[in-house]
Amino acid sequence: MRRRTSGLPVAMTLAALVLAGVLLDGSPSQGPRAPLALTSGLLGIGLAGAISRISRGGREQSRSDPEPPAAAAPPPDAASAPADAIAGTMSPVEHEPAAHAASWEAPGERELLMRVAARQLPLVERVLGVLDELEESERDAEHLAELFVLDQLVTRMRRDAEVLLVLGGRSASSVGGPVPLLAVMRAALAEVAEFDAISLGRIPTVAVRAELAAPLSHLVAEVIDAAAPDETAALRVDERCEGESLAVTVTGVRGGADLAVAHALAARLEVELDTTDPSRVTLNLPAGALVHPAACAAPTSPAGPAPHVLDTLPARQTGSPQQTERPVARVGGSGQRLVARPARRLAQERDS
Amino acid sequence: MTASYAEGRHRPGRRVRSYVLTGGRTDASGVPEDATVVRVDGASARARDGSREHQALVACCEAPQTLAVLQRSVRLPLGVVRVLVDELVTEGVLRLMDPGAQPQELAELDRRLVNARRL
Repeated sequence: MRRRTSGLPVAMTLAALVLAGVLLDGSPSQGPRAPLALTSGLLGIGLAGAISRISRGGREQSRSDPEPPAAAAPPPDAASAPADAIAGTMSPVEHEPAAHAASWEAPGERELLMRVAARQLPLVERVLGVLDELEESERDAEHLAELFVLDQLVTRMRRDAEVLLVLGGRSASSVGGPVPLLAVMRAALAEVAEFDAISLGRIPTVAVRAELAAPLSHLVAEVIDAAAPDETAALRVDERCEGESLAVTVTGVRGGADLAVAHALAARLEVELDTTDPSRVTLNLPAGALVHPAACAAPTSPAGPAPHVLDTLPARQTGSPQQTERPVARVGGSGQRLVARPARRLAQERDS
Repeated sequence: MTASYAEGRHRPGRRVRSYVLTGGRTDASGVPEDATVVRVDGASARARDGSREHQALVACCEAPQTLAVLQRSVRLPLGVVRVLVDELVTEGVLRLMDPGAQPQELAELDRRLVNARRL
């Protein structure tokens, strides 16, 4: 009984503090918010603010180091302010609370989101491992097609989980040797909605550092998916050595493409994203991203952009009189399965 | 099976997924599962235009090979190997052998089986 009486003032004090905090919330220009709006605002702030902080580069914010008021912040600029660019991708209703995230964010939100993403990733990896085994032994074409559809959806989930971790500041594993650019581009293709509709040019025989391989494939996939979500077949991806650096160019970009996530990811990877030409997006990889930059600096042939051609990737299904219609298991951006798309593997485009 | 999944027996998924190698195709009705294929004369040069997997398959088919042997060689799912071989057959780089003809390793196995029965 004695404990109860001594604890009551403490509880009342805490309740009063919480109530005071609620009533004092809001910028002077807006005034106190209604309880319902406050509740929804809190929810919105929690998510939007955390995403904003993640994309900002993982800088830790302590309680004693609050962000400046959102009202004084400059307008969102996708290229220079990835955090605002991320917030800009949300709907207006969600975006409004994000502007006030600074005063509401708890310092552990980023870590919490990172923890959830890190918890999700091994589950997705395990599903992909199971799919690998099922595909290995599957002999029925129809069943294999279904597995491919599932595989692609889960692969895209893995991309999302890993992008979240990269934006949150987690470094990718540097275990393993150099990864050929061909593998990086193939991994990127596996992560886009309409992977079989992309035309790719020649792949220089260069390799990227292990820790950059997966994030780079995610970045390429982000650009491809954002460039023309409804007309992916119009896209073309070329890789070109420029000095000791490497440029990956996606042409056929639709006007007004939302490249906010790509910009944030590129900033994280220290990859320059050139969008000066609205019809194309170029990823400029510095020489430091390549394992042997000198290989990229080899003299180029007048006939092509790079002297060493390792391979080409599945080309766009361009029309050809010799082509035969063959069913293709694929899944579009909305998740529907599409079939009966011609496939041509050998006569690929090599006019890059 | 469920328990083994929960225990994490499976490896992480590969980065380059199988469906990318075939462009999503799974139908290879032109190549039976028990087919034996062999490289066409002069096919090596034409195969250079293909992907790495195409080139590897063509390189393996100097002598007649079954799909099972090719699968072990290139370490890809059988369904993927069938699609790739089907494409190579369509392109005229590989050709299907007469179903009655046996590849070398099968002929050798038959010979050993006959010898074993004689014992």
